[in-house]
Amino acid sequence: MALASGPARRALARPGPLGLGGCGTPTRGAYEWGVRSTRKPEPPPLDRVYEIPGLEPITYAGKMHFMPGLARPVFPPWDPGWTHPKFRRPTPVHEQPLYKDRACYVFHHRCRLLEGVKQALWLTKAKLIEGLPKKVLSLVDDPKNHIENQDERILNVIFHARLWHSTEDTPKRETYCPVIVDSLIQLCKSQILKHPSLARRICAKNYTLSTTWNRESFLLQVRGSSGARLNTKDPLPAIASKEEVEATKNHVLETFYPISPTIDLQECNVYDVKDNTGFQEGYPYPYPHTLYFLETASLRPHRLQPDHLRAKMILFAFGNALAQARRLYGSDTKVLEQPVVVQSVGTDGRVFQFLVLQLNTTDLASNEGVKNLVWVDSDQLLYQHFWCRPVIKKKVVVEPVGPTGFQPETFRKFLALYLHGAV
Amino acid sequence: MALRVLTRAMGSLSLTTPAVATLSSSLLPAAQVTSSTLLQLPSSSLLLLCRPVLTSVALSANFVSWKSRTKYTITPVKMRKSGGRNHTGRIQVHGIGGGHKQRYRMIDFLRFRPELEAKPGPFEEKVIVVRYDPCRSADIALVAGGSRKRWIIATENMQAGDIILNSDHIGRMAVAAREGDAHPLGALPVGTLVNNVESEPGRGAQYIRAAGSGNVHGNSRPGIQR
Repeated sequence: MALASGPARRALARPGPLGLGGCGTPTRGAYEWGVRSTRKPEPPPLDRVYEIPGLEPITYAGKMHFMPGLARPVFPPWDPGWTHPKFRRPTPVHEQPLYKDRACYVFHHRCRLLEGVKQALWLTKAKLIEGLPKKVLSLVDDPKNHIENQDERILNVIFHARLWHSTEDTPKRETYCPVIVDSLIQLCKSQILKHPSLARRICAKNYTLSTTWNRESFLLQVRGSSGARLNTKDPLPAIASKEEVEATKNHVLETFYPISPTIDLQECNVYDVKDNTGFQEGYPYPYPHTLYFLETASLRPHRLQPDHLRAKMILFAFGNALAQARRLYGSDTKVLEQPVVVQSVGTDGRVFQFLVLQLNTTDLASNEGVKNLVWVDSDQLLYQHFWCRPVIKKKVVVEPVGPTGFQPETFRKFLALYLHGAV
Repeated sequence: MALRVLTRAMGSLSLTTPAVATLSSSLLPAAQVTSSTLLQLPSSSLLLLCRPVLTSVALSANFVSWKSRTKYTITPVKMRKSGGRNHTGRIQVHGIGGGHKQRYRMIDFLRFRPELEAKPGPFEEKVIVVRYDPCRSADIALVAGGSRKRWIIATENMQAGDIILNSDHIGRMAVAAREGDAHPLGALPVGTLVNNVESEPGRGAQYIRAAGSGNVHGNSRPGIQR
């Protein structure tokens, strides 16, 4: 072995490249990514002496210099006894305290599910119903619930968010999206005079959520903090009746073979299983009412598509509902007598997605049984486009400054979702 | 050591010897100092004691390949164009250079590559989207199977939503091949149009990858083929 060097030694070690190759193994493998200089070099092979068990190899370690003919010594890795704070390496994954063998698939606010809403429905064992439930729609059309000069005030809100509140010519989405949502919520709050029970609510931002559940041999987790959450002192009443809930037993969840349901979820082995609603035990507003998701990225590739946004809304609403159900009724898996209802609104400043989720069961491991219900109203435009600067063609103003294609229906649904539970 | 040689050599190349310089600076003005230097030539012995010094050196080519990524990903990777230059920096192939900036999408040419935790054997994948690739003449397709996504070369009539089969199984009967499926050549009937062919199983496709290419599988030898 000492006589051969470099490529000759490698050729003797591996029988492949000489052209013989075993039966079925290729003489050269498929393309490996990375230039050889950037690939980690493999460590030099140990001397053949180390392969013989029970034999003590004679090395040149004691002589303190190389001696041809003696084996190369193998030293234990040096432990200096202290670490510089700038050069501390993180502990390997296997030695971290929360390491577990079973992989957990985590959904966070940046995940974009490949199959979108279908995958979210499978993960939460839910049945989709297009359109908002009748109870909420009745609140939409009821003229008693309307604010005075509603349309005028909403137009003012849109002007303010998209043009007036910032000194730039065209404010970016990062500025106008949170302003528009805050102003709309402020408009809804003006109804406190008519409905005093609206005062029993509080809005919380930057809350952290963490829930874990089993779904047909996969361990799933929703984690993260995303957007604002409206908390109330009283829970939302169940929307679907017992018969409708029982009828979901016949519904079959859509699968998407050959794609696995855990695609695009982050797989990790270091995780903690405990549930965390984001609020401590004695919090005065314990029940989640509505979640607000904002898509504030100005570049289109960074923004979530409407389908991905709806999937994210479903999963976070489900996570909040599940954590709440476990806190109220315990962590054993069962069908809930009083279903937990959570609402959700997602927007990018112009297009709104509304969602109502009713959690009927915490028995999510099997595919049969009662399913959860999700009502989705997708792609509701508040306005088609907003001209920050007027369009002038041949000295005639073709499009004035302001929104085009304004739909007041969208705000009525927003208001209805806000008033639901208090009216 | 090189610095010491350089400074010694530079020191020896002064215009006047040190003794003459001090005398001339005290007695004569600056204009007359220059005339005295022309008469007083430096002795040739001082020159012979020092080595000749190169004051210029050729630049070495700092060529680092842009292919540094070792892990597979579907996001486009930034690449650097070569312009026909090789690692020395000189043009090796003429006529290459310029053109629109491109990002490289890592294509998986080994079709039958099961996932790490998947069962061994043939498996199916679904085509998500077929799109233009600036780095090659053929279009590429994003396929997803199990919990991984990868890019492959798209065949002619491939569309989003198709299910394609990747197999390494050779049966006694020839397979009724569909477009987009990957089988060993021994399993395909004679006369099928094939593309993305590999010379040995596990090597990865190296032949018939360009747009519009396709070859007729014309091997009629019986028995198992490699």
